This record gives sequence, C-alpha cells and structure tokens, in this order.
Amino acid sequence: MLLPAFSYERPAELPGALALLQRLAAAGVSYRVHAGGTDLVPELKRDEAAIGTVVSISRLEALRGVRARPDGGLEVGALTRLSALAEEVRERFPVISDTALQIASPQIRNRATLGGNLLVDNRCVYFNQSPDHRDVHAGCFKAGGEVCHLVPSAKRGAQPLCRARFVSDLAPVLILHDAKVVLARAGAERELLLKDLYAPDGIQRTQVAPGELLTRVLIPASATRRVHYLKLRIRQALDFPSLGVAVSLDGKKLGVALTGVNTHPVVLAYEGALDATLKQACEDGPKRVAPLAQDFFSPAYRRQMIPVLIRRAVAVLSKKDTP
Amino acid sequence: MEKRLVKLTVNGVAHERAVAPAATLLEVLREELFLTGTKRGCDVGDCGCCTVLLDGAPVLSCLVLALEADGAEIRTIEGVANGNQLHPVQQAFVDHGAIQCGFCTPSMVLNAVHLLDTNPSPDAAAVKTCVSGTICRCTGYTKIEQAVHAAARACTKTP
Amino acid sequence: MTTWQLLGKPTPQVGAVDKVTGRARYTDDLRVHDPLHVKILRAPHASAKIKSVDVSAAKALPGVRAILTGADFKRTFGVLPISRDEPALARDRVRYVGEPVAAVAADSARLAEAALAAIRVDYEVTPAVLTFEEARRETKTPLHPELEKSNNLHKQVQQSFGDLSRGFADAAVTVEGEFRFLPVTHAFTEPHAVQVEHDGELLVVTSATQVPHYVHLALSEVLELPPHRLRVVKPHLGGGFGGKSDPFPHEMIAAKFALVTGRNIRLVYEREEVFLSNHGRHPTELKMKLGLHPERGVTALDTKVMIDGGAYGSFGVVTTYYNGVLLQGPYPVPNSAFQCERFYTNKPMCGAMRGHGGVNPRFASETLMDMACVQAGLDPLEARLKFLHTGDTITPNGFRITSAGLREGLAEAAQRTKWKEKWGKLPPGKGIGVACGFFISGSALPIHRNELPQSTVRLTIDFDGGITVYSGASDIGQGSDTMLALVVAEVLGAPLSLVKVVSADTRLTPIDLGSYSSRVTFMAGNAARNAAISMRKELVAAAARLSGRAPPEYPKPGEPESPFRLGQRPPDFDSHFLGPNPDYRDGWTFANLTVTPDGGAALDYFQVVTAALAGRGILQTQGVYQSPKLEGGKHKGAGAGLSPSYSFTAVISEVDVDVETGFVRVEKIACAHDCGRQLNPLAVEGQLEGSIHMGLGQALMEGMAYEAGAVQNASFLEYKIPSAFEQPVIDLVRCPSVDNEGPFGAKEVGEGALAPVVPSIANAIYDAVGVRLMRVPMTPEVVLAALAARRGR
Ligand SMILES: Cc1cc2nc3c(=O)[nH]c(=O)nc-3n(C[C@H](O)[C@H](O)[C@H](O)COP(=O)(O)OP(=O)(O)OC[C@H]3O[C@@H](n4cnc5c(N)ncnc54)[C@H](O)[C@@H]3O)c2cc1C
Ligand code: SF4
Ligand code: FES
Ligand code: FES
Repeated sequence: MLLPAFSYERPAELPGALALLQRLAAAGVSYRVHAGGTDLVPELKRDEAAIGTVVSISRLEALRGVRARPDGGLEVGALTRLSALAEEVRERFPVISDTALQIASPQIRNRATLGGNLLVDNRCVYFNQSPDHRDVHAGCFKAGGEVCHLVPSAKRGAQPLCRARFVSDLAPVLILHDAKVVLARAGAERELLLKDLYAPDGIQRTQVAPGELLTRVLIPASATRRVHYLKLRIRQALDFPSLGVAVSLDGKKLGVALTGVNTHPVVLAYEGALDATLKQACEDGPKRVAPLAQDFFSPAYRRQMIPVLIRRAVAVLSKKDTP
Repeated sequence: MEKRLVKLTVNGVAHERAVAPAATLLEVLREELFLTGTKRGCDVGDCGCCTVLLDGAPVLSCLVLALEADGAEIRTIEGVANGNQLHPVQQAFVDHGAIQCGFCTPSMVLNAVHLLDTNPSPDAAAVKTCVSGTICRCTGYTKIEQAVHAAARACTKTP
Repeated sequence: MTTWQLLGKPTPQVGAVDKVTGRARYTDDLRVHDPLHVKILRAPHASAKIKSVDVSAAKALPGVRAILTGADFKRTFGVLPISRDEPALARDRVRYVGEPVAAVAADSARLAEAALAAIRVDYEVTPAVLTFEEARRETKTPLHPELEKSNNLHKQVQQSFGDLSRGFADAAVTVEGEFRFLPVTHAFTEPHAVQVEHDGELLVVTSATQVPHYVHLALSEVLELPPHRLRVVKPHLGGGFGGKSDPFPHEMIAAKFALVTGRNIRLVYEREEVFLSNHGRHPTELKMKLGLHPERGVTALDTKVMIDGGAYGSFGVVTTYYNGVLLQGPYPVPNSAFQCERFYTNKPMCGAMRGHGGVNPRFASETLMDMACVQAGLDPLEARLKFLHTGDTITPNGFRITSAGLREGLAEAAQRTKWKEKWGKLPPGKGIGVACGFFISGSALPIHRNELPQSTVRLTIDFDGGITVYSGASDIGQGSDTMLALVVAEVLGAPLSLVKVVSADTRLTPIDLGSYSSRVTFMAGNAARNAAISMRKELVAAAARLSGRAPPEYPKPGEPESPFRLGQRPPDFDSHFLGPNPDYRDGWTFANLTVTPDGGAALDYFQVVTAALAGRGILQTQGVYQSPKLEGGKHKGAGAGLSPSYSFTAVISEVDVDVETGFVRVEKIACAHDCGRQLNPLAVEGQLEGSIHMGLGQALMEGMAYEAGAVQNASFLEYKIPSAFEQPVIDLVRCPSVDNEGPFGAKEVGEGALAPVVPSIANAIYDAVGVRLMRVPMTPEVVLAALAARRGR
C-alpha cells in the first residue's frame, strides 16, 4: 500500500522540534507526530488521515531512556521503545515490563514507543480499513463522513461522536500506578495525570493540544501498591486487547482500569474490605463500559469477561501477598 | 514531496539514495537495491515477512520510512550467510525442514539470528516469542522452533 | 526387502538453500524490463448494475498507458469447463464487493492508483443475495441469468447407496445434528502476483499459480490467442493450499495489457485484495444423521448439505460432490444418502481449499460418531479401530480402496497418548478426543476430459552426466520438486546434487494438471519413476556394451506378482504395476555413481553416460502415469472422488477448557496418517504439522466476517491465523503401510490430515466439559454459550 505524499521533518533536538510544531500549528498545517511509526504508518497507508507534514521525533535522543527519580519512582522518556522499556523497568515494575511484552510482536516492539502506545489511535472495524473498504459502507464520522455505522442514531455535535475503541495496553497499567505525563510545547511544559490525558471520543481522543509533544512519563514509587494486568485476545501474539483489565491493590484500596471496551480507559477506585470492593468492582465494571461490535469478540462477551478477569487479577495479587 | 538523500549501510555496503518521504525501507530495499529476499506479505505490519535487522534489531521494514533509517546499518536475509557458508541458523532451517514455501523464511531466520546473538541459550518461551512475530501458514511453526533450538545448540558448540 | 539409498530418509528441500539465503525468486521478485504497473478498480457493492464506466478523465492523466473495462473481454472463464462463468472484468453487473471492474496500466503503481480514483462508474444498486435463506428463494433476478433458472441454485447433487431405512432400522443408536461453519480462507503468505514479458511472438506470463497449465488454457481462451503463443511459468511460490489453483482475473488483465500496450507488465495484489478474491472453504450448513451398531459399525448415514459458493463457480461443482463422496471412508457405510446444494450469493467465490469439500462433513460425521459411541457405551477410539476400512475393498459407491494402514497407526497413537487412562477420566476441564479421516490421492478423472495421461515426466541426461527432470507439477512449497528428484535419483543411484528439476513451465515441461487434490506425489511421482526406469534401461544397455556383457532379458509384460488391483489395463514392466518394491530385473546395481553388474566390476556412472550418449547426443526418456481404469459405478457423478488410492488419518487431541472464559487450549495433538511409504519423512512431517495448524485455526478462530457482503476482516491482523503460541505439541505416528500402486508405495499427505483435526478438538472438548459443539469455529463464545445452555437445561 502506497503512502500518500507528505512532507517530512526530522528535527535533531527538542527545542527545535517544539518550535517547528508551534509553527505548523499556528499556520494551521495538518501534521502528525511520528515516534516509532508502527501505528501511524499503517494509518497513513490506509489514508486514514489527511496529512501535510510528518514530524518525526525519532532523533530526539533526550526523550529516550529510563531514569530513576529521587522519590524512587521512574521517569521514562516518551521515545523509549517497548522492548527497551520491558528490559529497563523489569526490576522495579515487573507488571509494566510484562504488559509491554504482550503488545503486538517482537519486531513491532523494537520500533514502537511508550508515548506512541499511550497515544495509539482508537480503533474501529469500520475505520481501520482501506479507503476502498471505507467507501463500501460510506465514510463514517471518523473518516470525515456523516454517519456512525455502530451508533446510527449519532448526530454531529453528539458527545461522544465516534465510539472507536481505546486500545492501549500500557495506559491502564500506568494509570493504576498514578503515572503522570509531561506535555511540552515551545517554552512551556505541563504535567497531567495519565488518566486525565484521555477524552471520551474516538476522534478527539486526547488532551494533547496542537503544538504539544508528550515528552516523559513519570511513574511514582509506592512501597505497597501492586498491579496486575490481564489481556483478553484470541491469539497470544499480535492481537490488540479485546479487553484489558488492570487491577491494583494497595492496602484497603482496589483500583481497576479497563482498556479495549470504551472510547477511553475506564478507571474504577474503591476503598474498604477486599470482599466488598471486589464485589462492587465486578458489578460496576460491565456497567461502566460501552463495547461495540468492533472486535473479534462480541460486546456481550467482553462485558461478561470483565468480572472474570478482575477476580483473576485479584487472585494473582493476593497470592503474591502470601508468599 | 521533495526527495531527500538517505544513507544506508546494507549488508556492509554503503548506499546513498534520493527517496521520497513516502518511501518505506521495504520499497527501497526491494525496488531500488533489488534486495528481494525481504518479502512483502501485507505491507501494514501484520505478517512479519518484511523483517530486517536495523542496527541489529529485527523491525518491520514495511512500517519504517526509508528516511527514518538514515544512517542505519541494515542487515537483510542476503547478508546473513558468509559467502557460501550458511549461518548456523540457516543451516538448521535447511536440515530441519523448517522451510516449506519459504516466504516467511527470511523473517524467521533474521529473528532467530538476532535471538541467538542476544540470548545464546534461549528457552522454549524465548524461541516461541521469537517466532511469534511472523506468520507462517505452511509449517505450523513446529519445525521452525525445532530449527531455532538446534541452531542454538550448534552455536554454543562451535563458538 | 529393497534397501533404499535416498528414499525414506529425511531430505531437505532442493530449493532450501535458495530460500534461506533470499536468493529464491518469487513472482514479484522478478525484475522484468521497464514494466507498466497495473492496479484494479473494485466494486464497492455486493450487487449492482453497471450503468456506465467513464474512463476518459483517467485516460488523460499523465503516465496512464491503457485502461481496460469489462467491454474489453468477450469471454468468461472458470477452472471447470462446466462453469466458465467468471469475467476478467465485470461487464453489466457486479456480483460481489471487490469484484474487478476496471484496470489501469501506468508508468508507476502510484500513477495507476491515482488513475483509478478518476474512473467514474455509475452503479444501480440491486438487492444482494447474502444468506442461504435469500439464496433459496425463487427470484426473477438470479445472479447468473445465463443459466436460465429462477433461483440461485448452482449445483445440486443427490446420491444414495444401499437401503437407508433398513440401515437406520439396523442401528442400535441413531444420532443427528445440525452443523454450521463459517467460511475460511487459505491465507498463504505470498499475495497473488503476475508479470508478463514479451519474447518475440511469445507472451511469457510468470504467475504465482498452482496450475500453470490451467492458466495457459484460460489465457488462450480469454485472450483469443493460439495456445502456442503463450508460456506460463511459476517461479517460487509462497503457499497455495488450493487458493492459487484457479485461473484468476488478474492474470487475464495483465496478459491483456501486455497485448494491448506491447509493454511488459507487473501486477501484485495488496493483502486486502487477496482476501477479497477468496476462493476459500465454503460456508456450510449441514444436517446429518448417523446410525451405529456396536458390532457392525456405521449402518446408515444421511447427509444434507448447503454450501454458499459466492458469486462464481470456481471448483464448486467438485466441492458439491466432495461434501458427500468423501464420507465413504474411513469406515464402511453400507447405506447412505447425501444431498448437497451449492448456491450463488453476492460474495467472493469459494473454491478449493486444503481438504477440499471433505472438512466440514467430516466434522459432522466424526462428531456424530463420537456421540453414537458414547450412547452405545463404546470407547470411541476402540470402536473406530474396529470399524475402519480394511484394505482391498470396494465401497458401495465404487471406490476401490487399496492400502489401508491406519489401524496400526491409531493403535500406536492410543498407546502413546495413554488414551485408555485418559478418556473419560481426566479432571474437569481437561479432555481428550479422537477423530478419523479419509482423502483421495489425486483424482482418477481429469477436470478437462482428455486422452492425456494424468502426469507426464520427461527426463534427460546430458554430456556432463547431469540429470534433468521436466515436470509440469507445481512445487508450491510442499516440496514436490524434491520428491521428483528423490525418485529419479533413487532409480539411477545418483546423488541428489546431480538432479535438476525443471517444473511448472508450460513451454518447457510436459502438461500436468497441477498441484491440487493431493495428486502430485502419486501421479507425477509415478511418472517420474517410470521415466527413470526407462532411463535406467538405456544406461544398462550401454554398461553392458562397455563391459562386454549380454544385455539383460527383461520379463515380458504380464501379470505382476500380486498387487491388488481391479484395473483393466494390462500391466507391463514400465508401468506402475511394478509394485512398491521394484526389482528392476536387469541384474545391475546403481549406487553412488557406479553401475555394477551382478558378480562383475563396477563401472563409473559418467563413463556409462558417455557410452550411452555415443551417436545420440542426449539421453531422453519419458514416463507417464495413467491411473487404472476405475469404474466407480453407473450412478450419476460416479467419477467424483474416484482415486487410485486413498489416505487415512487419525487425530487425537488433548485440550484444556477454561469454563469461565470458554477458551480452549489445544495442548497436544497426536496424528497418525497413512500416506503409504514415506518417501521423505521431513516433507511428510511438514505437511502434517501444517495441516494441523490449519485445522486448529478453523477449529478455534478462523472465519471470514461479512457485513453487507463486504469482508470486514481482510487482513492478517483481523483474520485470525493461529500464532506460534497456539500451536500444540505434536506427536506424529507412522502407519506401516505401503500402497501397491503409489510411487514406491507412497500416497497422499498434503490434505487429508486437516479434516479430523477439527472434530478431534470438538470431541476432546466434550470429554473435558460435556458439551457438543456444532458451530465452527468453536470460539470461546461458542463454548460458553453451550455451557450456559447445558446449565439452563
Ligand atoms: C500488527 C500490530 C499489532 C499491534 N498490537 C498492539 C497491541 O497489542 N497493543 C497496543 O497497545 N498497540 C498495538 N499496536 C499499535 C502500536 O504498534 C503500538 O501502540 C505502539 O506502541 C505505538 O507506538 P509508536 O511509537 O510506533 O507510535 P506512532 O505510530 O509513532 O504514533 C502513534 C500515535 O501517537 C502519536 N504520538 C506518538 N508519540 C507522540 C509524542 N511523543 N507526542 C505526541 N504524539 C505522539 C502519533 O502522532 C500517532 O498518532 C499494534 C500495531 C500493529 C501494526
Ligand atoms: S464508532 Fe462509528 S464513527 Fe467511530 S469509527 Fe466506528 S463507525 Fe466510524
Ligand atoms: S509486509 Fe511488513 S509486516 Fe507484513
Ligand atoms: S514456509 Fe510458507 S509461510 Fe512459512
């Protein structure tokens, strides 16, 4: 599949990159950031995005690598490749490492970056298709058209307009670690809790503003919190999560974050005796998601599996408790 | 869409080519350098057939913009054997019947070469993971995994 | 016993080094000089009238050299002479989403693609026929009005043998079920590709095809070009599994462009286009009823099948028959009836896929067999052992079963898997299941009626002693070139390195009707062996002269020692009736490049060749394979499924079922496949492991998803082929079987093992959790639904 024509910039350092993004944003040029390109390149090949400029940040070495923070946590550059991430956080955050290794394939993990994974495009069976195929069903909202094939009642102005599903595997796990992201733009930076990065729409899916770049992910240390992630998919390689369930236990706190079943990660937090919180989480989980027929598994099945996986993750964590 | 100069070292040979931003590494290898051992099975990252080693690590050349590979060392399947001397991985693939149609073979071999470079005595899980990034419709993976294990043994015997 | 020099030992493929070094050239790897690039415009509707096609704007674009539309092709084509219903480019109507409508040849692929966007097609969308229910309705607007029918029934077959009601009356238990199967597709890794070059008057078409001779014949028809102006070549091929055994529109389009423009042509499909072209296994709905008697086995089998053929015929008529006739094994079925209907629908066509026509009915019959055994209180494995066909029998529909060696293999597999200790005794969630299968070793009747032998092989030895085998058979990755080289090298006592196989090139190699129905080893293998035996005679004559000995006296043609056969052809020394353990009866031994008379001194092979070449220049022989004349019977369709030999398979699967999620993990598969003598165990194992992979995929996850007739999962990401993580541990069990008519005793191994994989998994799931699944694939949701239904009861 041929890539469409675009112009290409590959700045050598961060300030230059931010300045360039600011210029493009100000001039109203449609641009896309290219990190590892494993999500962006297929998207461009399928003409999913009209694009003027590709801004590759792959030379910004400053954004690569994992550093320890004084508080014992980690600061991970957005450009850190998933294979490197898995290696470098294995000791401190084995669950992040394991989760990274469940993404896509070894070759993809050698290019794919943490930032790209957190910002991976939402997916839908009507959208992630060749342009020819999108024409068969008439282009939907996400493709610039005037219809949603999954929610035919949706009208422009509806919120959310598009219900393409959120699929990042790492996001739910990092959210339960209370991770923050650093968004930089020319001359300024802001920090955001990762869970606040996302918007509830399949098109306008994040808070990243024009001109902004995700530069770092901050993972605070915690002596007591443990997190486990279970990924539901028919094949144990390649496949995106049909449903991903991250669960954290921290004293009396139970946290749950779900991926693959809504337009954004769904986060649940409870405090109290585990029996009760667990029961509540299992009841709430299926209600808080909105899976659609966009995946190998039916919406009903993915809903049904939420409590199963929550329980299993808790069981794993509880087992780890009593060595 | 101006073409830009890209410098690549492919199998030890330095190349300079003017390419469009829209050109992928796979296209440059196959169409400009005539290195057709790198296969195009899907062109969107799903099959693994287009694997090459980029600065030593296996990547999907159909997802790498050629300009992204500027300055990189690329190793393709054509660069694995030493003259007529097959790499132990290649020899093991031949001997163990790990090859049927051969379309996935370049990728499988390069992934295995990289595995053994970084992990000389891989366990079963490591071998499975190494094989899992490429689709093989012919062999059911069984003989490919056997060949990778055999190659690992051969490599450790003759360092 | 004959001792083999090469046969029976694991031998790497002859092209393996080329494949492992990247030297092997596949179709799109060829660099023809300065080609035009072709892109195809495809229909966005499942069913529509084409009111007009306007290519004027596209034609005016820079770099566009030619455009073709349906009007440029007068004739339709199809692999079967009885259903030549497919146009290269749609004419007045489109019948499926993705059907080729127009094509552009331009200076670059990019320019061709840009031009597609400028073609204006005016469609009038018409109601699409997508389901069985819609397809069965009477209609004034059938997909193929040229058939002059008021419905979309493409083919209906009915056969019955024995007395069905008596059979059911005889049964101790009767079981039945309704089964449903999603369509699955081949998903070979190399996309379709074709390149066309001009060579003087000759049009050289290099294509990723399983059957160059079919493509040759179809091109000649469609292009209205005398056959001698064409040459079709298959270079290395990245998998076929039946999906490259039809002639395809893109081959017609590329060749036509070459004629129209005088230029060389290059065309390669995107992966999505491969899925849209499909030709995979038919979606199927099937009702079956089976009667079983604890002593006599299957007493009655009643089968009604509907298959959804998609928009065109392809191999569909054959598929329609195979859905029934392959049920005549692996057990005797004295009383049976079957009906199969194939419908046209507005979807990409279905055709031949590994295990052609036999896979889905086998799932039903082996599931029912299991149910019946359980009901009758029989151990399903022991019952199968008891009921399996024995060799040297004739089935009620006239199949002549020669060798049948599965019994020993299944018994061995039962031991190795510890069946007795496991079946019915594993902890909840764990299960073991068995299923058997039966398949043809090539079809005794050709698709194109003709007087040619089924296979012909030409053999030459030149001045350097090099041996060249010319065969039309396609090596599609299964290693048939290696098999041919092995067979010839064995007879001539030459090392494999001396043998070069030239195959699948319609100009250079004698006609062969390709790699499908598991015919290559049996038919081309026999032809190669016969050619080599003739060559051996030439060399013996020369060696006798050199050493001053009398030439051997070959036995006169006559009855062979004992092989079982019902064929009427008089056997002769050169024929396949020589048996599986040839005694060449020439008093010479060929081994290690020496030729030695009994009790005499060894002569050097090259010296003998030089002597034989004297006054001749080249040594050349040919060998043919002609299957014995098989009668089958007098009933309609008696030819379907007639084969000179049949393979048998048993598969034992062990599974772990997660009752909360419905996930089935197939942990182990033991497979005993009776393929006669294993000429090359490495190739045999590879075929079996590959068949198991495909069976596993169909059993658990594969299925094409359609929405309004459009394939929704046209990618390797969304069409789920099992990954390395899903492949079970495999234990292959040999069957001590030798087929009297197969080349050195060999028969089919490429397809037969797939079918029983699927029901063996279903039967193991039953053993694990007690539910019978009748939907394939048996996804976690199907498993959970069945578990819930049982709890509800
Ligand atoms: C076959 C296949 C299987 C896959 N399986 C999975 C899977 O199982 N789970 C999963 O989560 N993903 C999967 N992916 C998607 C993708 O590979 C990963 O999510 C990957 O981590 C994306 O990272 P990247 O660096 O390649 O992103 P890119 O493609 O470079 O970028 C992704 C998106 O993020 C934006 N972006 C990237 N970095 C930044 C930044 N620093 N600042 C601002 N914007 C940025 C880009 O503009 C783009 O929109 C799969 C992809 C393929 C092709
Ligand atoms: S959810 Fe609706 S609008 Fe969004 S991509 Fe899918 S079909 Fe299009
Ligand atoms: S061709 Fe690159 S992954 Fe398939
Ligand atoms: S050998 Fe054919 S795809 Fe692997």
